[in-house]
Amino acid sequence: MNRLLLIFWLLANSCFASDLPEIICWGNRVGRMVEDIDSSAIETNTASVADLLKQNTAVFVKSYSRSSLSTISLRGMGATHTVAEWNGLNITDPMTGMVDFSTIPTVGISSCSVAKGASAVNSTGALGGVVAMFSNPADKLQASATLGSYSLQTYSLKVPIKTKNSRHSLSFAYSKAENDFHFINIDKKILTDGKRIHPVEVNRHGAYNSIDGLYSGEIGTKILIRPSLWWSKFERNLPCLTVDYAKSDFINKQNDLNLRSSVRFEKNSFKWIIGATYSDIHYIYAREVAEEDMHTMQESDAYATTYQSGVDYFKVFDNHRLDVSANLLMARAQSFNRVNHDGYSAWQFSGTQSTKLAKFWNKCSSSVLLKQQWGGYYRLVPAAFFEARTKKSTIKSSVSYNYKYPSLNDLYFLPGGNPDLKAEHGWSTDLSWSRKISFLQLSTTAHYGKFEDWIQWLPTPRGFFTPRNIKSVRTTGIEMSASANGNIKKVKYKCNCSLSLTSSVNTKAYSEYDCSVGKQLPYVPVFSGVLNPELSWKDITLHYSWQSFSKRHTMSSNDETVLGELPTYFMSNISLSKKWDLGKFNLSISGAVKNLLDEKYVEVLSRPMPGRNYEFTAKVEIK
Amino acid sequence: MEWPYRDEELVRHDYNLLVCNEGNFQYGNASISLFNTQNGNVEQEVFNKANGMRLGDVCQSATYAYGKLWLVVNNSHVIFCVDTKTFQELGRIEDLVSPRYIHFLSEEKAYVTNLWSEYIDIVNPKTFQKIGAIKVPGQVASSGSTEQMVQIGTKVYVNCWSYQNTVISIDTNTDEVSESVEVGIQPTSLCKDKDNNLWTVTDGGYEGSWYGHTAPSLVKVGIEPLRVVWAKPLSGEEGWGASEIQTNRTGDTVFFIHDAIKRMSIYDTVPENIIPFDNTIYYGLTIDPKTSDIYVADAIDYVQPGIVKRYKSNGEFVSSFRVGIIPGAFCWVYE
Repeated sequence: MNRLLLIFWLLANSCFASDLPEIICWGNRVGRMVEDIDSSAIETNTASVADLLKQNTAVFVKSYSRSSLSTISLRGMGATHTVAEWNGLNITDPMTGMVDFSTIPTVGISSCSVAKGASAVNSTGALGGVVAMFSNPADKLQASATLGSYSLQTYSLKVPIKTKNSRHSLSFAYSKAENDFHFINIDKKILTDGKRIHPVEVNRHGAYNSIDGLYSGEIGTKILIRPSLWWSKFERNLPCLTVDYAKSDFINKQNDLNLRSSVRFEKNSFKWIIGATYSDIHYIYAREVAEEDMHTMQESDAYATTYQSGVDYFKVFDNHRLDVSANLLMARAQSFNRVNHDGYSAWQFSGTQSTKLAKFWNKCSSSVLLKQQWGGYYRLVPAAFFEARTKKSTIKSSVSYNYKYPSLNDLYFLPGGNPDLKAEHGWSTDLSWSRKISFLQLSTTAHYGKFEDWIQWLPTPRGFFTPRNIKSVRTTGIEMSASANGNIKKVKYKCNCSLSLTSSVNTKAYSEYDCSVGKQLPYVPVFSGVLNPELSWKDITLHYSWQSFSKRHTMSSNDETVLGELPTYFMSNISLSKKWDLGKFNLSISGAVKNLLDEKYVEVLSRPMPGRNYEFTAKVEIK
Repeated sequence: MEWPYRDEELVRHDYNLLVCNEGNFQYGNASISLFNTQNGNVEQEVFNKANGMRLGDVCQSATYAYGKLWLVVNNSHVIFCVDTKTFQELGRIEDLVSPRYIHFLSEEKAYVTNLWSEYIDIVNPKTFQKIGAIKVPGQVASSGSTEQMVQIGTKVYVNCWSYQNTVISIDTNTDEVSESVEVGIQPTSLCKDKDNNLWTVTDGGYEGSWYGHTAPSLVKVGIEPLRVVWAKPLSGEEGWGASEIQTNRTGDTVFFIHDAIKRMSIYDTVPENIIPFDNTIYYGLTIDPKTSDIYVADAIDYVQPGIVKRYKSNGEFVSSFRVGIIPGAFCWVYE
């Protein structure tokens, strides 16, 4: 181990460099490709981080319905390969290994970025990438209210508190909707006037309500202390499938309670973070088995607690920058079925220590990283980055070999948990080129990854599922983006566009009859794209958002049958807003039409999505 | 995007074997495949094509009775009645709790077993209505389970699977449970032999289950009175439990899945491997009631069309054909 570290050290030391301030600012991002979401997009988004990412990036958000489970696939990888971080804290559920981005409102989020592939190597288990969110104290008192179709009501309030040496803010958000939209159910037929037709149905059982309270602060000058606390409660019914013929009363409900807290200490080049997360997912399924005879069939609680701590330190010397960091994560999971009295309780300890050495020349830089990872297994994670910059162009490249441990449910869930699972692991590498041409910023990235021991839950003849390491996956793709902004006379314009072509294929046959080799993974679109043009004149802003996703296969063999694929769809949203300066405060009012062209689409089989719908928002900001 | 409104195709199908493809739970992609044992023709997604709509979520079983086919779609809470040749819908029984199998007593009376219910529903197949229910003593909804049904005389015998351990008998004159016998943890399937004995295999539950966990077993059950005649624990290579017990054409041999496909004379006590374990999980099994050919379903990775392998009764491989996602049950249609 020491010998390996020494080799990396010597490799990195064989270079020479230039100006230090730039090294300090830029050093930790050498070669990393990080996509920052436009802060104005965060500001105007009144929904969840899932919607924010869907509208502003070309990542595929797999949504099971409006306000339902929404997971993110980065570079053709699975939902469990995307890590979510908030204020440096890993908020991925240690039980499922996933994050439901529909439960995270944007109201308390001040910045959000997406790093993919090797650029996410610092985040343990981020084989696909990481979505990093930060909450900084708000500067202005702000209140907003949104009313919309399907009884949508969203209210938020941000209260800043300032003292001589500190800034604090409290944010609150409340949201609810019935989500009782109508749709033509093409999966059913009914007999009407002698004709069999697709019925118009209501999305049954899709109501939700959520409440969030968030505190964030900045205290001190010499030593900066950033405490934050986030309490969130999300109660939702799980909507019926389009092929559900039940009429009796039933309850199918999931309540998520989350508490996340962290304190960051920052002094010069030293950072220390401690934090903890707690979540309770309560699920209940009850059905009327005979007239007025409602029985609870499933009722479970899944409690997960994590305790986390991390330190980061960097030192700049002789055109080098050395970053050293260490992280500890202790997770405890308790899953308990109140009906069957089944469940499990398990602890998981993991830790990382990484050393990154960057070297700077006049116009380029490179860095190497070596991370030691513990947690059931001991693994060495290597990564290397390169970046070259001219006045107008930048070339970046990175390569890493990363691991993802099985989640606690993968290992211990009853029934079916498999304690013999191996970690998923693989290479990822990318090369990007970006250039500024006048008012236009262009960027192109090519990426490649090869991953082994993918975990998949398979049914067993005993009637339950169990996870197994069965697949190898190769991902390749190209991501392109363009952005422009400027003025045409008095009209300001802004436009960003992202396109992504992703091939994510299985390379390992499960048996001689397996037809999935060389085929695109289910639910991963080959093409995805977003376009966001915006025009502003005086205080009036017109924003259009277009998204498109190519067809998704539902079978690993990519059979092109009625059941085998979900069609391509295009989504258009448009909004018009006006701001008034009323002396001591600003008032803005906006109206949005979502799914402007009333596109009929689904993102997951048998899960209906809403047609054209409307939202009106009023926002007041005290200056 | 062109929204795929679906037309109905009027095609008369020529087949003997119907395969119920469960599809993925919660994805509503169940389907029906048809196989002609004479010419080897296979047809896919016939219900969807014939009706211009989906079959639903988890097609658990199919039953041929009184010239019609009845398709039990578990998590859609529905049973579709379809024409045997065209597969066009003739009617549906809706709002069932979690239907598993349907067994006909007459053209106007049938039993429907359920998961997550302590009741067996009584339905009228002519009116497509529920007309009653049979309470299973000792069961509660949260762990209630009734599965396959076998009729001998005026009694219908039912194995109770999930978090259960009994085979019960129902008196069809009174629609009440008349007898019950413990056969081991989670009997998965049920059949009768030529001597009117019942056979079941248990999966033994799972390690850590509140209900207990034992080795899977093969059990012979006598019916007068209802009792365990003989039981044998099964030790397997993979320990996946045992399922899908069937008899051959003459009713003198039982077949079942226990890692491999096993066979045993009803007068014997030691099952033998007739189709070896092939590093895959066999998911379904049926025996041709005319030829005793063996058909084994392999779901492969459970997210692609599965495969059905056909063997002669001595275990010699004949052919294989593709079906739909997770082929789990079969229905023979010899008119």
